[in-house]
Amino acid sequence: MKLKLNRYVVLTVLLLLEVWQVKAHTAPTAYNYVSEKVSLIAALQKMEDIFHVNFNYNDATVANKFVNLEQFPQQGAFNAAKVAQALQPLGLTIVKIGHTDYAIQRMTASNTITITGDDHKVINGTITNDKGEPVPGALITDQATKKMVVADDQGHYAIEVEGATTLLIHAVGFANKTVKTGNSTMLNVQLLPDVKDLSAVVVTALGIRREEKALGYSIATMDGSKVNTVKDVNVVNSLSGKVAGVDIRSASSDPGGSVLITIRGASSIANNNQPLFVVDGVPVASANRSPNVPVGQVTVDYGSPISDVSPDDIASVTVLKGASAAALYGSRAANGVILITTKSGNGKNKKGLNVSANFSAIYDKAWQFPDFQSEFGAGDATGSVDPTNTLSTASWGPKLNDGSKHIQWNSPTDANGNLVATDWIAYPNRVKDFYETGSTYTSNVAITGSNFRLSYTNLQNKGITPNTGLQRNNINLAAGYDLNPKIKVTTNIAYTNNTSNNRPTFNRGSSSYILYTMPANINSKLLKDYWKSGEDGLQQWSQDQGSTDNPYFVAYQLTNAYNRHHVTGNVQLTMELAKGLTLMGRTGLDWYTESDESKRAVSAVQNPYGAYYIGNLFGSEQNTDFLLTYKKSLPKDFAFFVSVGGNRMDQRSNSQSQAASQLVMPGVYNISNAAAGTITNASYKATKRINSLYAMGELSYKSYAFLDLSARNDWSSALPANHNSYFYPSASLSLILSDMFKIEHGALSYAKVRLNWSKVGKDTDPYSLYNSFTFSSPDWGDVKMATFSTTLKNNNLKPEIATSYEVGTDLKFFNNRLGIEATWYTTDSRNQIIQIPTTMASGYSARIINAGEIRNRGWEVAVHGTPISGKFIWDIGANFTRNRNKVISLTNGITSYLQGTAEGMQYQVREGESLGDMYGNTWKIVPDGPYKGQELLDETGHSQNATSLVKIGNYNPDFSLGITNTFTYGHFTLNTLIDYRQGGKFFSYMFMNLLSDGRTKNTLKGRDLAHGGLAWNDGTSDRTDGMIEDGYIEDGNGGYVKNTNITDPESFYGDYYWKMHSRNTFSATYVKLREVSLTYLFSKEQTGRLPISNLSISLIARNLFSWSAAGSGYDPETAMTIKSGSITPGTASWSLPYTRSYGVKLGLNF
Amino acid sequence: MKKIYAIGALFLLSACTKNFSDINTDPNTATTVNPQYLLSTALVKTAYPYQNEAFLDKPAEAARYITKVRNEGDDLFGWAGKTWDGYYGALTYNKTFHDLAASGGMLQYTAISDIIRVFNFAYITDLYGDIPYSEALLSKDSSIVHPRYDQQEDIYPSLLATLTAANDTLASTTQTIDADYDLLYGGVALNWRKFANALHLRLLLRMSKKSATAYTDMQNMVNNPSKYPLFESNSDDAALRYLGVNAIDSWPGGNLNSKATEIDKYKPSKEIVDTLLRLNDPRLPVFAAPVSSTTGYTVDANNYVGVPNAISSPYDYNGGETHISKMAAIFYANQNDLLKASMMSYAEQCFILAEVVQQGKVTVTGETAASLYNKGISASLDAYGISAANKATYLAQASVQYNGTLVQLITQKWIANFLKGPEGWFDQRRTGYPVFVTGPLAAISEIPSRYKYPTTEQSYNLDQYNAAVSRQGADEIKTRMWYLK
Repeated sequence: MKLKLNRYVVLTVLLLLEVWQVKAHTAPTAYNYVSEKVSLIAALQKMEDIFHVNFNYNDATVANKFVNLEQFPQQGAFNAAKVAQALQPLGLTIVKIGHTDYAIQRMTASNTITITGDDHKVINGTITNDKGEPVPGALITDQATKKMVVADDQGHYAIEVEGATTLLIHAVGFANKTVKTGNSTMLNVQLLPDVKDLSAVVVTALGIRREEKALGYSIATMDGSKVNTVKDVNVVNSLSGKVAGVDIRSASSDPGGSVLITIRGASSIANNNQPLFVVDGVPVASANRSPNVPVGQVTVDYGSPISDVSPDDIASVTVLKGASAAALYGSRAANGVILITTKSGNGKNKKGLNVSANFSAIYDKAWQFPDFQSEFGAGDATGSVDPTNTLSTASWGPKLNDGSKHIQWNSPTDANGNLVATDWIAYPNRVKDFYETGSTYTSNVAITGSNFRLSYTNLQNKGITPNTGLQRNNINLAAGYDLNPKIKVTTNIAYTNNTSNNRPTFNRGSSSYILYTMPANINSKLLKDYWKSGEDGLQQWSQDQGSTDNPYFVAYQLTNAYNRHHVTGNVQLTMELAKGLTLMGRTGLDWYTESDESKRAVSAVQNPYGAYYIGNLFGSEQNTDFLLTYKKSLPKDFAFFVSVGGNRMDQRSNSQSQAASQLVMPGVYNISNAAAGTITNASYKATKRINSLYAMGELSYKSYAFLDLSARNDWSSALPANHNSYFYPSASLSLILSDMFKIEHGALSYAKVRLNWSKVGKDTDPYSLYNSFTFSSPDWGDVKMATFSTTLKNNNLKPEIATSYEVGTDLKFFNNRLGIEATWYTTDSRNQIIQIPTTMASGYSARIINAGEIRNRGWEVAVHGTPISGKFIWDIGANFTRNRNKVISLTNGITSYLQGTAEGMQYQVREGESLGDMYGNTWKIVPDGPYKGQELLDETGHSQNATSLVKIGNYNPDFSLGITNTFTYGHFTLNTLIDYRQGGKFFSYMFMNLLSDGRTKNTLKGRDLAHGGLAWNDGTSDRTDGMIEDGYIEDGNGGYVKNTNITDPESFYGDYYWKMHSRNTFSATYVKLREVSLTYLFSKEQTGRLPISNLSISLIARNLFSWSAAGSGYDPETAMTIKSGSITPGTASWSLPYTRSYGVKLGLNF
Repeated sequence: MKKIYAIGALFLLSACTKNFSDINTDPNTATTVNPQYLLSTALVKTAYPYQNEAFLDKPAEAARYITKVRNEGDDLFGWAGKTWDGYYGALTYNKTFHDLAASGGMLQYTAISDIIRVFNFAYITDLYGDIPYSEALLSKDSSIVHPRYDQQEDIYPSLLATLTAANDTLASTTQTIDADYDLLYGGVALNWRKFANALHLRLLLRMSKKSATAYTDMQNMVNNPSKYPLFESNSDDAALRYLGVNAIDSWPGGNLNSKATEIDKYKPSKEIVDTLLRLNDPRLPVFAAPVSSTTGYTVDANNYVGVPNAISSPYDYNGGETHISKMAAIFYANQNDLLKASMMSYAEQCFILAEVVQQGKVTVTGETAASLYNKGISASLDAYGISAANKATYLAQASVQYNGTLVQLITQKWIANFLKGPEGWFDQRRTGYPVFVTGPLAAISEIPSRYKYPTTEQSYNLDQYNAAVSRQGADEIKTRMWYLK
């Protein structure tokens, strides 16, 4: 009975560890390069086989420990004393906890106070962690009698003691604690995490597990629970604000949308700056799918394949920030690497099955809208003489709600066919009414056994835009098998099906665009029946018939679906060839296929006859690699390991699409239904191969000085033969000062410095060397037209090289109550492969060359501490990121390079400036005299553009700060994440457009006398909507006079704002309460006889609060332009309203 | 140990890189194509953008064919730098066409390519003045990425010499032109010669103020019709039809390329409508639609009402939308037989000759200025499907009958060139006719003389740009280019 209990308890402990402390879990594939001896685990396993005993231990306790096998009993009866003797040098001991069950524990210092007393009594209590949650399976030892009990799964224990004694409480993952027994028979104990222990082993490049203290570079690791508390459809969003040095921006508030990530700043001028994603050692497709305009006008954001990873399956996420950490991944790692390790089985010695389940529901509400005005209706001018002017799409029309009647969008016609004026009423909720409550339901069930884990996740999302959403189903299998003690096989396979019947659309023609620009006299609720009566399926009914689509028609009849099947997997074989020599072989595949389908119903403004698009995408990447490792300890406290490895990467992609821009039969969505000659065909395929060889080694001294060296050579098929081989090395040094100088100061617990230098080479896209011909589609009638790119390719390209330096320190104080990690880095990217623009008069618009040098330099600081500990616990973590980007040089004769444009804003790269600088129009100023610097207007009192574009700002922040707080009291845990970004600018095209057409409240001024309008005469009639632009005009004698020309609001706002990017650009500073979760963990008593454990329920919320310097209504984070082929941050075009989310999460084990 | 493995693997891998060139061979594209596939491209990329600009861009406002009632920046003459990427892009296709033809010894195609080349370069220099010419298009061949701007007075003679040579080559070669891919003339070399020579006349007239030999060259050409065949009827027009099937082959005003609301911003200008009304011109209903309401107007009682350019609130003119003419329905179509991408017409050639005969600079056997003038008008009326009876009535009107004045001649040429290239604008800036009203809100008090250079030139080709500006004069729309000085 007792044995059974113990096993159950230990199992539970391990499962909990799985959730909370995954870093401590050492999978069978671990490499430990410390000794030529066998690992302690192996020795223990061997004894289990020989003597039929069970050892219970914390993986972290035994990890990285090596022993001589002959020191352990090999035959006869089991001799615990001999084992204890062998364990002693390792600081461990063995404790009997059952008939054939033993615990392997750390030995502890006995700084305890003995208390006197004679009574025989039973002491009861609960063992909890720093969050107040029970710690099942904790071992409680009476120091006097060595008697031992185990806490149950609620952390409860009861132990019989004789008089004065002290109890030693030990639990895996926590620092040992000794307590004196007083007179009380009740003794609750709170354990603190053993920080040193938990961070001991981290996953680094190539999936190699290393002791963190040996690393000479900054690395950030988060366990799965951190990305899983407030679940996001795209796991990348869950990293936002949590890791120093990482900048994450959602392209929109849609959960399935693209997410832009940059690590330590953008370094590439022409290529994307997205990091490489590696799941279980296998690089996977992460790149955002380029937004597309399949057919017609609206832009579709298909999101990113990385969102196919289910947060429920994630054991840990490691961010390799610098080129240094990532150098072993080669080319694509120059932008950093995000390593995702998925959950695996329980471990070899744990028997039985565990089933866990969790469920979450999150509801999204459209939250931030521009301040629309509802005082004036449709019209081109307040003083218009044309009675039909109130049919305009601009909002300069007559005053609403004053009892007047005007001809308007839904006016009936009289007997003569003339439009009849109707009540002129405002509909202030016309925009809000359209959006629905979005929802995301996630359900996950996982079955875990000793050497496998099978997990299924279902996600159902409904967007805030009607008729949009996505569904996702994941199946994840991790399994391992030992062929014999020296050969192990493991595999991870994930299959995801991600589908959507309709994606939300962006930019012009999208529902948001239509609603935002709709005059206030339109009741959007009336638009729900979007077919013209009697013409169902043939003719839409719209607020601007024939020119603008009905927003509901866009949502329901202009649909954009996709269906993606995504498989990632790997098989890995590890062999111990000889003493100290292991060989790993692995092949991994990332494979996906996606079919897209877009429908455009008949009568759509852009496609009056309807249209149809189908597309298929296929992408695969296979990586096959080997790693041979030799490790040895040398005399005089030295140890080393060396590894050599190789990798072959094969990338394949192909795509086909067909678009029919006119259909013959309405509603028949088939390419064969295309009007003759209206089909556009496209197909493309590409392949690329990179062969690589690499070597790395570590030399360590006394476990406090570590020197790492690595080297890699790549051969890329995309580069010309004379430059296709490139070599790049790295070196790093880690010194544990606290161990080196044996610092045993009360305040300082741990001190480490790290230094490193590295290079990373980078190739280019396939087929970048020679120009060639394609045929344009559709054909001109039955005539073919050959065409070619106007970018002149280059058959003499060299690889790009990024060089980086990094210096950092990790400090821990007050017995780990306070920790600080700080890093300074600089990265120079040279020889960038960019398309340098040339005048089209040269025959080509650009040529591909090696040019440019970009420097990113910055600070990252992470602080974590526990200011309050006790019954009430407060943990705080903060991370600070500051990156400075500088364009050191471009190339001879070119000092500026146009990276791209969005809504007229130019993203220019200029020498001495920064990537992300935005250049736009501003106003002319008086050049001299007393009014110098004031705005200079033209002769008729209108704003005029300065002659050249000026730098309006940079969209990158000055710094960002993420703060997490965790408060624990009893069963309750409250988590908050505050995201603060300081500085940067964004230009809002939306603001400019809405303002220039009189759609927002800030255009009310001047419209009539009540709103400060001036009385004036426009030449034909007397009006009361006069305005004067603020500025000076030339007086004709070389001087300047204050402008007194009166103009009307329509031209005032149009002139004053529309011409100037600078007047529509705002500070991007914001503070967001990004995540809040309140969790209640039920105790065993509360769940009663239910066959469940670890029942927890959480209330979760996202974006509960947001403050932005720009004012409400415009979210600086999602200020993007989503257009065909690109997502451009810094310029806000037509997008979705920002959302606020609430939800609930339920988790339990069976 | 490490070294041995590394060296062994190095050998392995370097052997593996042998098939890299196969992996990096683009399977999607061809390394070379037959030249006719670029003949079609060069023609489409030349003719359609040329027509597109004539209708939707600045030339339509400068020539007072169109008034935009919203987004009226072009009317106000606040013209910013104008990109020339489209024109030079067409020239790049054309150059590749030329190179492929030349390498195959296909003289018929090199000659056609030369004609297309002259057409485009002439268009660019007519728009801007000094432009990259002799060093243009050489990024690939000679790595010239900062081409020098040549002076217009040097460019023009070179263009004319090229046309002469192309005409001669086509006269002598027996190699056939692929009829399917010659979208303009269905493989008839003679028609290409006619186009080359008509274009030659157009360019000679443009530079006639500055060139001592322009008129004698013209005289020489009209004296030798067999050596210099010219357009003889509308069927010789250099005009590319629209198919109306896809956006790329459709009239710019149709729904495949533009929203109806967008085209609704384009109203016929008061100047053209009033002229056509004054002349009882049967082309008026072809160009413009009658107002939808004839009651409640404020200033203009006519059935056809054009909007003055560069006035305040143009959409409110005459009482608003229902009291303003729209463009005629054909301009909203994706394809109409009356609308082609016109590069040059027989009517224009008639007016060119009429003008030089009227000035007494050239004589044409069997023709007078009046006969050529009448032929020009007739050709235009025919092109718009005006009946013979209406044509006769029109020509018989006193206001239409030839009166020997340049203003009458140019006014008729201006009507005939309605939305055909920039010719209406170019004749106005050359002759001052018709006399246009600049409009109260116009930024300058004259019709612009040129486009400003593309703003990108200041980034990509600054030194050459600066040299050109210092030679030609400030980069402003008022600055006069060589042949206008």
